[in-house]
Parts: sequence; structure tokens; C-alpha cells
Amino acid sequence: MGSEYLTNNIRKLRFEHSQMTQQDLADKVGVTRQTIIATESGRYAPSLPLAFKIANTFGVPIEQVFQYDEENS
Amino acid sequence: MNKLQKRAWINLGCMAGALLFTVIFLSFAVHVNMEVDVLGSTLSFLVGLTAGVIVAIRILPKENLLDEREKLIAHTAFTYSSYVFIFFMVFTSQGIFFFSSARDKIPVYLPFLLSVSGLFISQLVSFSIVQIWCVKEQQNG
Repeated sequence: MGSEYLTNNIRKLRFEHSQMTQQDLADKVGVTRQTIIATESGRYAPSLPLAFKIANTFGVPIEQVFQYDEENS
Repeated sequence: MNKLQKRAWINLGCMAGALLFTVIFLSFAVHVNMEVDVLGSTLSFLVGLTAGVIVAIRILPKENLLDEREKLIAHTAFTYSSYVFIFFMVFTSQGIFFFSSARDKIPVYLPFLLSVSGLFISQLVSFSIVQIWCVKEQQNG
């Protein structure tokens, strides 16, 4: 369920966007706060549509939100 | 408690209720030596079907409110509970086959009781997976 090689900048991006709360982000992308918590901490690898929704919410390309560590994969 | 945990509680409650009803009904039926009656069987089936439909109508619309992570947890719980149900039925059926071979017959209520018990146990497994998963995430998050 989680991904050891998928890292993300969600936390950093939330704070850069007027200190958006996890609940605000969850509401904007249509998931629960628990899903945002799990994604942010790397315990859950989101689906591609959800990853794009998160990126679109921050107005950045998806690769600025999620990074795949190919060397360790 | 999130939606998934609530749904797990409802499912477990329904199965516990069904098992309790079955045990009470079968105990009563055996005690009074009840005979098979077509009208009674049909009525029981209709009452059960109505109860099932009411529960499904109350629960199914909420399924759409689960997000992708919750659906994944629910799917995993369902998969493991299905395995448990299959193994339970296979092993208890084999057990009955071997242990009752001397008598060549089993009580008529036994397959029904085993089916309901199997469903309850599988629901218990599903419930445990959902609760443990959610509690673990809450502790970490």
C-alpha cells in the first residue's frame, strides 16, 4: 500500500500555500484527511488521478509534488 | 471513528444479529420438534430478504463516499475475509464428513448453522483488519 521509493513535498507545498491544512487539501481533492496524512508520510502511494489533483491544487507539475527514487527501487 | 470503521461495526453487528437469531431460532425449532413448513419457510425467507435489502439500502450509498485509500482497505479486508470463509467451510465440511461417517447422517440444521457461523467469522476478520489498519494509521499519523 505504501511506497518506500515515492517521496513527496506535500507538507512543504501546503505551508507555501497560505499554510493550507490537511483538511483543506483533503476537501479540495475529495479524499479524507487520513488519506492525506498517509500520503504525506509516504505510507500510501496515491492513484495517478489523485496525484494530479494534488498537483493541480498547488498549481505545480506533478513531478514537483512526487518524486520516484529510481536508484533505490 | 471514520466512515470505514463505522461500516465495519454495522457489518459485524448485522452478522452477529443474524448468528444470534439463527441460534435462537434453531434451538427453538429443535426444542419444539418443528416440522418443515412451506409457508413458514417462505415467510422467513421474505423477512430475511427485506431485512437484507433495508440494510443494503442504508449502507450501499455510503460506499460511494469512501475514498480510494478506504476502498483499498475495504477491498483487502474483503479478500482476506473471503479466504477465511472458504477455508472455514472447506475444513468444517471435511470435519463433518469424517466425524459423521459412522452415523451416515448429520442434523438438518448443521449446514445452515455452519454457513452463518462462517459468514460471522469472516466478517469478524474483515472487521479486525479494518479496525487494526485504521487504529495503526491514527497512531502513526
